[in-house]
Amino acid sequence: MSVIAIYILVLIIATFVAIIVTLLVIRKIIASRSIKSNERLYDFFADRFSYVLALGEDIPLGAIRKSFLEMVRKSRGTGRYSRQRKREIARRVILNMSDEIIGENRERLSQIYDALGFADDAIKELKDKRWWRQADAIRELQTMHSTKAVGSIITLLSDKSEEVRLLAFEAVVEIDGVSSLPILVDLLRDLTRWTAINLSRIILEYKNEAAPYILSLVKHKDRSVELFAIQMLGIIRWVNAVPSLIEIAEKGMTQEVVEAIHALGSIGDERAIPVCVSKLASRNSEVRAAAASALGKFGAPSSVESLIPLLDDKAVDVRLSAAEAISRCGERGMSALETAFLNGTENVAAAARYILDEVDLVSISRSIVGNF
Amino acid sequence: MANTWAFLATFYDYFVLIYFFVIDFTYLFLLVVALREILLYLRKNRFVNYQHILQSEFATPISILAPAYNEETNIIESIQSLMMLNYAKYEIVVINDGSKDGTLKKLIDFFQLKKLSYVYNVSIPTKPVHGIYRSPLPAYNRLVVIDKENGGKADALNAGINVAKYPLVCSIDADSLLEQDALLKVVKPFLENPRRMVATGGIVRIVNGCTVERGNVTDIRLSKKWIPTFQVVEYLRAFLSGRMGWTAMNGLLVISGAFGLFRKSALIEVGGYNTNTVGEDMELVVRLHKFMHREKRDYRIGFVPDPVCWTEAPESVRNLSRQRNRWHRGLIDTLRIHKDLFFNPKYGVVGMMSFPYFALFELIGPIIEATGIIFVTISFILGNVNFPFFAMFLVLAIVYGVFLSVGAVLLEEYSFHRYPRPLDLFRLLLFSVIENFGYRQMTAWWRVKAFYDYFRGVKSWGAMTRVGFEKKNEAKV
Repeated sequence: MSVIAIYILVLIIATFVAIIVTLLVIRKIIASRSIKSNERLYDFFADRFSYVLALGEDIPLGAIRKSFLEMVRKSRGTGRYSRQRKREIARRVILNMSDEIIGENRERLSQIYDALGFADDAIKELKDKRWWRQADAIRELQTMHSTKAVGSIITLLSDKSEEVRLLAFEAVVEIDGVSSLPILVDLLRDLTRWTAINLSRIILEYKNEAAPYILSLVKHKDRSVELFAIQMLGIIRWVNAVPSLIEIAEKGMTQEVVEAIHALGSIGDERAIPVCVSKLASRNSEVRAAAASALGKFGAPSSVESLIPLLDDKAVDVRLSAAEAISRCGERGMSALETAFLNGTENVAAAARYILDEVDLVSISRSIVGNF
Repeated sequence: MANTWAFLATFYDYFVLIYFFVIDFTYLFLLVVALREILLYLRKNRFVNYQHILQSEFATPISILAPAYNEETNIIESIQSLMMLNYAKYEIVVINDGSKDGTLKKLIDFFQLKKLSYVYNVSIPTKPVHGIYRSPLPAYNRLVVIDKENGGKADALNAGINVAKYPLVCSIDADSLLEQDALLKVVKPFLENPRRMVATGGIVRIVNGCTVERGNVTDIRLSKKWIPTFQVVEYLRAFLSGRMGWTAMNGLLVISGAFGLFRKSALIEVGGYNTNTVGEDMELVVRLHKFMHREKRDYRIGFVPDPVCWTEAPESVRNLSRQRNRWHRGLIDTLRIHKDLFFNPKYGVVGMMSFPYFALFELIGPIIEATGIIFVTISFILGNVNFPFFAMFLVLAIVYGVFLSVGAVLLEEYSFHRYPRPLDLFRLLLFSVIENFGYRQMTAWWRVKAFYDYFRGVKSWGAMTRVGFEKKNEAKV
């Protein structure tokens, strides 16, 4: 009995799978057959829209809408599915055209997209429960610069899907410009590196325009946002941020201090040298390494004396950062490093030699290090 | 007495039947879960622009570790291929593990390497390091070569971890080729989940039959030989179905040694690779799971189905048998070392599902399969079991095998579609069917033999003759 039960179960599963595979194959056959017909329709709509664009604003949007509805109604196939397919192809034509054109024509195309009701359709899609449908709609509205969609897209900035949140952020900035940043950045929280990568790309398009808004985030209640803002200020290299970054480097928590020092090093403003020098004596090795590294970026010969004691630091990362920093401080630094290599303790000599080798793999290793 | 034997034989027949039913059902379950995961991955991928990672200062830098032992045939092409990877910031650490051939000389000559001083931070103890080399040529400034005493692949990787300067380390085989965007794709889970992610693995595909130019796979096609083609089907089943399925449940126990990305600090915390096993890749992942559970950390170990690592598969039965023997010895060893995980609720999905799966199906599956076929067939001939029983057994043992392999090939075709030629797809489907009539049984036998070798104390890797990527093309032309 049990054998028969298993046998039946196996057959049921096999039949179920066979049906799925068959349906997939049938779907593929139907899809391939409709490709040609879709291509003809695509060309038809592409011709019409190009013609309309060529005429400029001579044709009112109402007339275009009327004519479009007529085209959809009259051409072959009048069923609901057929009408939907034609609308879909027309929408695809507009989206593809918008990628290829600029200026007034692009604006006109956006107006046509809106007049034909595609913007409203996409706004409705923003409420879909499936995140990928929402994401598609956001991307479409962004492509068409649909200003009427901005309010609806902003509501998605707190969506549970990271993809949706990111696309919404990008879309609002692109449609509404940098002025929307204060509202957007206020909604940021729990940033992952992936989000940071995407946000930084968007922000970097506006650089100095965006910098004041980013500066306002260095005291954000969410730590991930705070760290992101500090790092971004270093990447943007906004000199006006130096006083705030110095304050964080002096009073912040360890991670914030490390990032602030790195940012100050990237900006390269001399006002930051004293705080970096003072942080060489920090009890935290990460802070000491960051301070050494930042001083290296300044390349100030005056900081060589402060860096030399760190060649004998107990943490290997600090020793190497200090050696590298010294090597960047001109002739005075290189000479100090060579002396450290020749006369220093084992740790000092090792760190110095490592960097000397790095600095000039061929000439230094032959002329100074030899075959040691 | 005869009755007792007959009873035992019938009992075993039923046991085998139920065993096959459970194993088939488990594979089917994994296939369905994998399908769902792959669809989700593809959907997410539609909205990802990997160029953003490439250009970003927020991308976590990676140290690639490539252990090399007697790899003079492929080593230059492999490194050149690594040099062309698309990634913001990475270094390549090649570890010459006391090669007896001209691997080191070839590296020194080609890249004009210079022996340098290096601050070698011993986080994990290894065999002595003879020297560390760098190239003065700007084009190769990412390359670091470690020359060390032979200590095996695990020891070489540990030396690489000690030298690696970045927070993520990517272990690869020196005889493998990574696709240009492989790092961008495999690192994404770390960027999305920087605190939780401990390790990710990419898919390993077989390069035999493909055209390789300057370390890049330029034309993907199946090998004309039987043995590599069977392995293509096996790899698709193992990676797309098995690993993807376990990833969905955070129960992945294997990240292939040919391509895996790890958080360096986690590797150091668990003491690096185990140098006393031939299955160091699986052992490490199991140990990571164990450690993370013990420390009560929220973590993830995952598999990404898209980043591709191309590897040269054995083309002869002899080499393949050695490889499978070694893999199975590694599996036995890992499961023996960590036997306390077996049905241990303390370790969650790993203890209650994936570890028992590997022990009950992957480990002893070959024994049940080999003995089951013999027993049930003899029982049928002797009349101990009737025809419906025998037919059912064949359905479970063969037809389901066919279904699962065909399923994996269709999954590949539907999702990644890497074999563009219809003829290749047809051959893959054909091999999915015929592998169940001889090839599968042959590999089961090698795995049974691995038990004998393991308990005899065999620890060898077994040499594998490599043809070399470019030479394959010449031969083909």
